[in-house]
Amino acid sequence: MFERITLHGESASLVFVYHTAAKLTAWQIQRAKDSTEWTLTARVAKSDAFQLRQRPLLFTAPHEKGFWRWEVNELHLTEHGLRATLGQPL
Amino acid sequence: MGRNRFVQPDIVRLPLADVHRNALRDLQDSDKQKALRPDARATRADIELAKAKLADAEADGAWIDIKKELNAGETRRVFGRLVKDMRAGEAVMLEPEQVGLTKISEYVVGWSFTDAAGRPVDVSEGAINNLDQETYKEIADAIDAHETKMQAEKDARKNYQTGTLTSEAISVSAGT
Repeated sequence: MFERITLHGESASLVFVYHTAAKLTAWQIQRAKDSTEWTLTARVAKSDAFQLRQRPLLFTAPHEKGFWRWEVNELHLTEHGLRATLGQPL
Repeated sequence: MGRNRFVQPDIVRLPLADVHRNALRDLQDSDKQKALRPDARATRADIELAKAKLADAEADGAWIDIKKELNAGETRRVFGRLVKDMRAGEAVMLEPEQVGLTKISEYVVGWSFTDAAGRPVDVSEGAINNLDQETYKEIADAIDAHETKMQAEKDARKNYQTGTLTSEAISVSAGT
């Protein structure tokens, strides 16, 4: 059994319906063994303050066969990027 | 609380067969046909061709997903990319390569189109430019029809509100 799952990538987005609320780089998602919560950290390349306030926001990141998608539960912008807690993958 | 002044990002699915259904209806509309010059009116062959196109489009089942309404920024982008030159008192000069494209690019967020291998193709300006001309026109016509419908709905709402206000004003003065 795993202790922690980590996914990471170079580009991802936060989207509100069809609007891009933020373009992310150097993103990483982690989930601890006994937790149901996923934590996202990323650098923000570009963001739209208005769209970031909308809900539901989705985190989407491309993979070989399509896109990962998580709903964003909480979002905190930091000096160097953002930190968010995510719900279950969609 | 005042009205919400922000565009809600709703998505509307438009079957492309509707474009051909509208075209056929126009050809069969006797009032519209009478308004045309005699040599421009639909012949029986035109109507049969339109029926065949509709049947093909229904069998194909293609659709596009579009934004229900463009917001101020998106509308400005459509206009800004389309206009080549604009001077006071003169006709606006358009960028011919951008006609239709700017609107399609801003409106379309999804479609049922696949590549030759049957893989879904993401919407992008590059993909739009690689569509065949018939599909491009179908999309442009579908968006135009959607805009006309949305404008009619807005006008109807405005007329209703104006009518309600007028009625209220009349009934208040009648009661005093």
